[in-house]
Amino acid sequence: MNSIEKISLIDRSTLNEKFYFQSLIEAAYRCNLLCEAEIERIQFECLELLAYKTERYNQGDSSSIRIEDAENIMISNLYTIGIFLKSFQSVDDAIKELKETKIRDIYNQGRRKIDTLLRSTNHIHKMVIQNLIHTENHTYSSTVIDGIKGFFKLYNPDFEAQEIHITADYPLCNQVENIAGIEFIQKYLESIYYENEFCSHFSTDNIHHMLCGYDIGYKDLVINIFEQVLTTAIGCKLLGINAVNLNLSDDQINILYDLLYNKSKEDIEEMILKANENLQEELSINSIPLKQYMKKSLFSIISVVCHAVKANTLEKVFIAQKYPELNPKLNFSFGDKMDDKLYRITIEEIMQCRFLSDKISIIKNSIHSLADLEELFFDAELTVDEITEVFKELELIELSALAKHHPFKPDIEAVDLSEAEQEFRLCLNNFITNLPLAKKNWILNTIAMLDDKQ
Amino acid sequence: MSFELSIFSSSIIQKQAVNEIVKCNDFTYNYGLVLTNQQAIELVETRSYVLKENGRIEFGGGVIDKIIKEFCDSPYISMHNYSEILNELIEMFYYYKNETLDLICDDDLIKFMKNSFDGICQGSLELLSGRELAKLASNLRYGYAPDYSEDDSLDEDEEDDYE
Repeated sequence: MNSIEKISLIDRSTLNEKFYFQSLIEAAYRCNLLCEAEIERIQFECLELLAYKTERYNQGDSSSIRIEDAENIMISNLYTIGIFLKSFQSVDDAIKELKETKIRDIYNQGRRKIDTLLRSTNHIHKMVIQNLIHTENHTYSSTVIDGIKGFFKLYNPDFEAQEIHITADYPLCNQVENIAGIEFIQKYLESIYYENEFCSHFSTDNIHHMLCGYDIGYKDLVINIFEQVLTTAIGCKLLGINAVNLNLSDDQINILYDLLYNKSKEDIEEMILKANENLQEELSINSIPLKQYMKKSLFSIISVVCHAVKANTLEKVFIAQKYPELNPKLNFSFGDKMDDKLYRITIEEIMQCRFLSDKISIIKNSIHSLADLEELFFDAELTVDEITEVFKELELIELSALAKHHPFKPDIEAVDLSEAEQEFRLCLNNFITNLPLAKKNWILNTIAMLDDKQ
Repeated sequence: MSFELSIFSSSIIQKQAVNEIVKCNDFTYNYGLVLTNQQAIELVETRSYVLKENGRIEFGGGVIDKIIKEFCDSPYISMHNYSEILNELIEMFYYYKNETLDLICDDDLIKFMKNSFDGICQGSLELLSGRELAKLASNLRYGYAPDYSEDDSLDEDEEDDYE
């Protein structure tokens, strides 16, 4: 026979996890589980606790305190009390504790619980550091390693138990919501741990190339790595291929589209849940908490996939790997500079010319390297029209090399550049922009391929 | 039900504070200074008003009894201005707690007020508030010693120039 559960007047799930104590008291008052006199006693004892904590905060130096500081201490006290009350299995037991025990004692129990939570969270952090994803994504490493270390340094459970002091920028697949303080950090780290554990089934290179496929500059993006890996792995399983390589081609993504096209949301959900089971089997995932975490993550993935099928943007969801290291790199030499004396004479000669045609003729005859031409643009005091005419004489590759050296930047980013440099860049940019589309695209592609280190 | 701090300013706490002030009469009686119950209530009301004005909160009797006990032997206080001066001192005290960014403890601030009131200010509350306490607050905010004075440092510079 099943055990009989006591029915409570208060539904535990309706209580606010962040402000648990306050919401419990409110609910208990509404359900007549606490009378006005008991509420007053609790309020008065909270005041006494605040007075005591304020004295400790001021270290006996001051009898008064700024209201905002007192409010923070009060919130911290109520949070700590809530932590202890949450540990009761039933809401009725928690209310019974409130009736029978002094607030100060409940607070002390909560404070001990926070200490325990701190120790266990610290341990989880150590475990997370041991199974980190080796990725170049800055947000991941700066949050998971440095950010959390910062939390342990700054966390003040006596007066700011509800604060976390850090921003925890790295987004989780399943965001931690409606909790605060040490509870938030513990839950956040637990989630990171499961995400890392899942990603540890894939090689660092495969994850890197898959993320390059998502965006070549993924290092600087604020994205959840686990979600991308899981989605792509699910995509592999939908096709019935091995997921461990995270290897989807553009053609396979098209097949996936054909597979999911015209399917209802329920069908897609069923297919993805089945793919998830296959994935767990392939990767031999037996950990129940990880399985639960994956299942929880699937809900957002399912809705993203359904939306992508409708919008025909499945290639943005299931990612084909990219290998940036295989992209051809072009090296372009600007050539040797001529003798300084000869260069000076040439520049003087150009500056003395009255007609543009004469200037261009001298440039053609005397300037034999792009290095000299580059300097000439700034030394020969050419007008914008003259510079444009010189550009017309150049090959596309030469224009690309110049554009790589002198990239056009908007005004705000170009403040450090000289006026001549700004004018030259603007002129070059306008010239390239006005070229026929094919030539313009050729130049842009070449700029991307030119080696930065030149 | 609310846990906002304003709900805690109950009449019980006010009564407790008044009783503590009235009890000080036993000590100040020797200096010929006594507060009536009404005057004690006024002091507590002043405290409540000033705390609210300055965005502060206080528990227990607070500093009123400390101020009374420190200032009762001042030659510039007698029965006819006792209550009035106490009200002004309470107002000044909380205002300068904020202005000094809580960098000075209650006892030190009260002692500074007493020494300045009896000494350089010669019983003038205007000088105490407008000059001495303002200077103290400025010194603390800029990281100088509480008794630092720009005039003193100028004098020292001048002496150095003559040497």
